[in-house]
Amino acid sequence: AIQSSRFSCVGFPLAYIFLACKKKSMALKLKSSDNKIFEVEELVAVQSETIKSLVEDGCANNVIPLPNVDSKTLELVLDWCKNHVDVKLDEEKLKEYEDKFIEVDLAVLYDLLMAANYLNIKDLLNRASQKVADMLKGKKPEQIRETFNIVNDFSPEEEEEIRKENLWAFEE
Amino acid sequence: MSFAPEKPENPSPKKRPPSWSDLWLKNTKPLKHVIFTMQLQPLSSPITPTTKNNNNNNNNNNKNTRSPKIPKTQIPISSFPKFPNPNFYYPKSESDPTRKLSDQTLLQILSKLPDSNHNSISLVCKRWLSLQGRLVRTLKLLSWHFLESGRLVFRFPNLTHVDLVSGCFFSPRNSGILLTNRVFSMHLGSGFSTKWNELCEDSLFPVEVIDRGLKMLACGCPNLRKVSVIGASELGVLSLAEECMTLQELELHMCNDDVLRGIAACTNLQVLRLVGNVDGFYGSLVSDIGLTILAQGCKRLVKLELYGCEGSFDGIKAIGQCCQMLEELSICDHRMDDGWLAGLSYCENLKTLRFQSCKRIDPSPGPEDYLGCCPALERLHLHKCHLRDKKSVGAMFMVCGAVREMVLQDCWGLDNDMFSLASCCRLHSHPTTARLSHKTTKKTTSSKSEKISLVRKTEPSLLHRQPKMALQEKLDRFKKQQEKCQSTLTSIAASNKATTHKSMPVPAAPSVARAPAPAVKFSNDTERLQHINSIRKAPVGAQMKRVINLLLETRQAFTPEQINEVTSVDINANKAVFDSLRNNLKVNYDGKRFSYKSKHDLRDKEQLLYLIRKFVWGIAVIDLKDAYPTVMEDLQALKAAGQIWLLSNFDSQEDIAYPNDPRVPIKVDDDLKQLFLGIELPRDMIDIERDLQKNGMKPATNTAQRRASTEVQGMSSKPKPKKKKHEITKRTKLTNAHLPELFRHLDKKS
Repeated sequence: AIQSSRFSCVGFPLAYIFLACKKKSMALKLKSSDNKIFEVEELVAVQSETIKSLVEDGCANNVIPLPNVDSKTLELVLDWCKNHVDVKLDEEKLKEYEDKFIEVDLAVLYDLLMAANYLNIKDLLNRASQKVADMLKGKKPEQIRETFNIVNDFSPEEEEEIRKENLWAFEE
Repeated sequence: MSFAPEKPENPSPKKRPPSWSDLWLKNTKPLKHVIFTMQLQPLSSPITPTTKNNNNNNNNNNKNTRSPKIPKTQIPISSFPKFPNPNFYYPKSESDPTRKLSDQTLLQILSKLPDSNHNSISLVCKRWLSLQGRLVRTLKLLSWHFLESGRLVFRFPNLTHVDLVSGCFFSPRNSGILLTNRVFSMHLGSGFSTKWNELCEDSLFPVEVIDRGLKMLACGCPNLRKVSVIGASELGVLSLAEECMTLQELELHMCNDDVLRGIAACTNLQVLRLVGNVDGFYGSLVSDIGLTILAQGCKRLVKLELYGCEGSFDGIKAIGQCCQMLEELSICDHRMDDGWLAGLSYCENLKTLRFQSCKRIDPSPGPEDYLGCCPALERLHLHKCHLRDKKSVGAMFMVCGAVREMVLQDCWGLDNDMFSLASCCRLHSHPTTARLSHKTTKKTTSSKSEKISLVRKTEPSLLHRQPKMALQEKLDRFKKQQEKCQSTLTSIAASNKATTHKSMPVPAAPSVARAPAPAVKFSNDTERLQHINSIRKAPVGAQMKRVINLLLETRQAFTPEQINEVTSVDINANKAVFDSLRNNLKVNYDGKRFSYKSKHDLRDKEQLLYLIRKFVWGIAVIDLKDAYPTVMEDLQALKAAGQIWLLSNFDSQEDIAYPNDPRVPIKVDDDLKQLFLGIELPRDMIDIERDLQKNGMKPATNTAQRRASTEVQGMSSKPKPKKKKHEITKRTKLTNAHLPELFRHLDKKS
């Protein structure tokens, strides 16, 4: 019985060997908005859904231009991707890395958010928006405006109106 | 073409027949009046915000279920929303970095915040206000003006669960006086009237206002799933039904028969709570008429709660007959006519039955024969009910005969006799009866202290009206009753063991009694002759099967006469059978005798091995199976001896036999072996997909997405329907009855 089962599944691992030989050979060239060129393995780059679809469509033979991402951000993003390629990396280490990675000032965080959104990297986008949400949590509107440098475009009457409406809608 | 059919000018894409409102409006004069006044309303208001709302709706890219339906009707609105849609122009301050973030990104950030942050987020700026509004799904409205002004649906277009009840009163919320009942509570201003029954209706908005609000809500939030409202009329409910196709839950306070005409249009409704009469607050009538209309309209009801509803046998029966999916029915503080209990037996799929705060169950339930029984009932819950009336309690237990779990909590009037009445349930369901009495004891003892506080809680009007003395009296009565209860409980506890013994069935007895020896009607000979006759009259195929079976089992050559003796098939007399047998592939006829002809003519193991060796590319075991009786054992023996291989592949179910030729040794490189053994196969589909993706290949499946979607929809992968067993029961339609051989193995089993 052992013999027969080994024979029957021999096709599958062979396909794997074939695939394993094929990988690591491809390298992609990414061009940031300030015309710097980054050379990365395809495995790293395809974590971005945007790049992945480019590769799938066969548009990745030359340099891929990324006009919405500057070199500083792209370097960070690629660093994130490199650390998330290896699936076997244990959870704790990865979390440690993520926590360290996301400890950046607000401007960089915005750039990361936008880059993650543009490149469509789900876990980075998730982590970054969680970071922003943590900064918002439990803060008063004035504090939020101050932190994020948002201009209050309500007139005092409008603000009063919304306060009242909130009382009508959310029980506290 | 000479005939051109008249085409409707404006084919409406809606599934629902557009006649619902027309239907009601045609026959009802007063309704016409209401509609007329409603139509006048928009003329008086200067601008309608319909376009604004559309704009807003179209911008929602995070709609959860389906694309928003553009409201067809213009909404009457008293004041125009003051703020323009903030998505279009917010101040161009370069310093504000959040401006660079897309709406989607910001929404993702905001959605990670807990509900307690609603308030501060909405006050940051206009853009954040609108984005935060899109995320709100559940809302409890406290001011009707918020809804009337159109601001509510403007700010929160994606609402799914809305509770309007508290907003339907114009009493001040901060008055500090709260009038409350278990189902319902309201704030009172200081200048309230002393007439309790009118109090509630006095401070409620007029019906037209509430209907108008409902219509606005329905048009603005087409994704509504659950709505609670008080004092609406059928018009309001109708607009809900027409605009919100996904409406599943409805809670209607102060409901009456007329309102139920509107509910009947909500065909997708699954959970419904009707509150008719609340003592001390308001009284409105839900009767058989309403229940019947409801039953005809909402056939998909799963849960129904009737609070303070009137009605009788007919209403309950209609619900049972029409709402086939009804699984849970709660009856609270009912005012049903006597004899209604029998209607419950029509609810064939009812699983849970609840009685809550019922002063009586059914004082004259009618003769036992007509009561019936809910066949699928699993749970019976009695909560705060008066159970003094033996007749009604007995009838209730009869109807709930199939029940498996019974919970009695805070009930009055339980004594020994009552528990003995429950014994009729024991007849039907054995496993839980012992638990039942235990449970009851526990529940009643644990709830003693609650009973006194109960009166204060549920009847606020009573508390106000009755002098203190009366209350004291009542308390005393309770205390006495509890003492009585206590003694009852101890006696029950003592008799508990005895009852459990009684309910244990004797395992062996029924099987003995059930198998009486069948009476012998005919003599053996007659039976045999009948048997032979039936065989000879059977079709050619059946007769051949008998013969071939005989040949296969014995592997001997038979003359026709011998065959006749053993199988009663007379080959010589029946030419058709003779010819077919002679030409059959599996039968060998040498002119005198018939014998079995297998595919390969083999006698023993030696020949078998020789044959297999001839087929280097393998020979199917199925071809060898009938060579001679012990062929399978020989095959296994050869395999064990290492002379052949028995391997299976994906193409055939059966094994294939290959010769093991010692002259052809296969050398496998150690490297290849190592490689083969060293490959770790991914266990999870997700890993396989990921590996494929890494190598630039697109997997055909998307396991992660599929799992996520099953999680989101709560549709755990359904167990596949079990394969039907082909067994003959009373209800099986028998086919091929002329071939009794086909049924022989079935008879053996039974």
